[in-house]
Amino acid sequence: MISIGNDIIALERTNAARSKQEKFYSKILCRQENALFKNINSDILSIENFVWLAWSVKESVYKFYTRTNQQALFSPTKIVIQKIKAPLQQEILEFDNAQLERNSFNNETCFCCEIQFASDIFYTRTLVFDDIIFSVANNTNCFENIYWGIKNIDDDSYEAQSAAVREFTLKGLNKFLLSEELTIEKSLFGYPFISKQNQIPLSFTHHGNYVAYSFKQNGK
Amino acid sequence: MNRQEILEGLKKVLAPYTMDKDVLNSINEETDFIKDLKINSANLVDIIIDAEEKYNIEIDVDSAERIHNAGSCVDVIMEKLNEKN
Repeated sequence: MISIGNDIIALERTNAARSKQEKFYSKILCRQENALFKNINSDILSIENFVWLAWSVKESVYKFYTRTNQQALFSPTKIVIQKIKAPLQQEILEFDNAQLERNSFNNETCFCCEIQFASDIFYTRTLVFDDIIFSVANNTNCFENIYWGIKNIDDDSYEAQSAAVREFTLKGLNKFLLSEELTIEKSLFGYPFISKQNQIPLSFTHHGNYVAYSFKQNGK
Repeated sequence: MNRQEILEGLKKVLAPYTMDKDVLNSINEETDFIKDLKINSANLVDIIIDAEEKYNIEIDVDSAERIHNAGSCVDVIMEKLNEKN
């Protein structure tokens, strides 16, 4: 399956007090996932951020899966995190740049999850910053060929987010991978793709004042 | 409560989560929360909880996963209201 999925959460746009209430998180987490939280140092991941980490992991996996299974419904409690590994570096990252772009994930700074959805296993990498949570999903546990970028934008309207994520992605594609002129289109099912480059799956996400992209080289 | 009344009530539930007030004002059963109202998916759980509180109902996960537009949301709210009576 050639695909990729990502999701960003601007924590400022979430309601922390509501996120830690059972009536809220019980719609996102299933019972066995509640137990995973107990093994994580709450100094680096509060309960409300755990809820949003789980949301972004599940949304990323759903985006990965629906590229080829368009009829699948998004039901967070049915996308189950089986394992979670906290970063070796036990500190909350600061997003202090206007933008950040990389061509892999460093396991010392990210949360690694293994997820079951339908009959498939997926893997994610999640970065938890002081003000954002960003996840990328893959169907193998190798993220070395995954390129991603996060950018802070001033205008948080949908139109501005949409324009900014396209512009940022094209710059990222040109910087890391291809120097030719590319265009990004949207499929009938709503996922973005690079015209004439269907071996490079692409995913967009935006929330509040942040936009992000991820793409995978050669679709491996 | 009929479908039209619930749709009007749903408008109030959705209002805090969409900046697209024109689409909200002309809401119909086909209006898609994400594609038409441009609601961020991170707010979908908020909308379900706000609807639960407004109508004093409980929306289980199987019902919640069916909600993608205004019509399917009205369906679920009506079902849950009928189950209560």
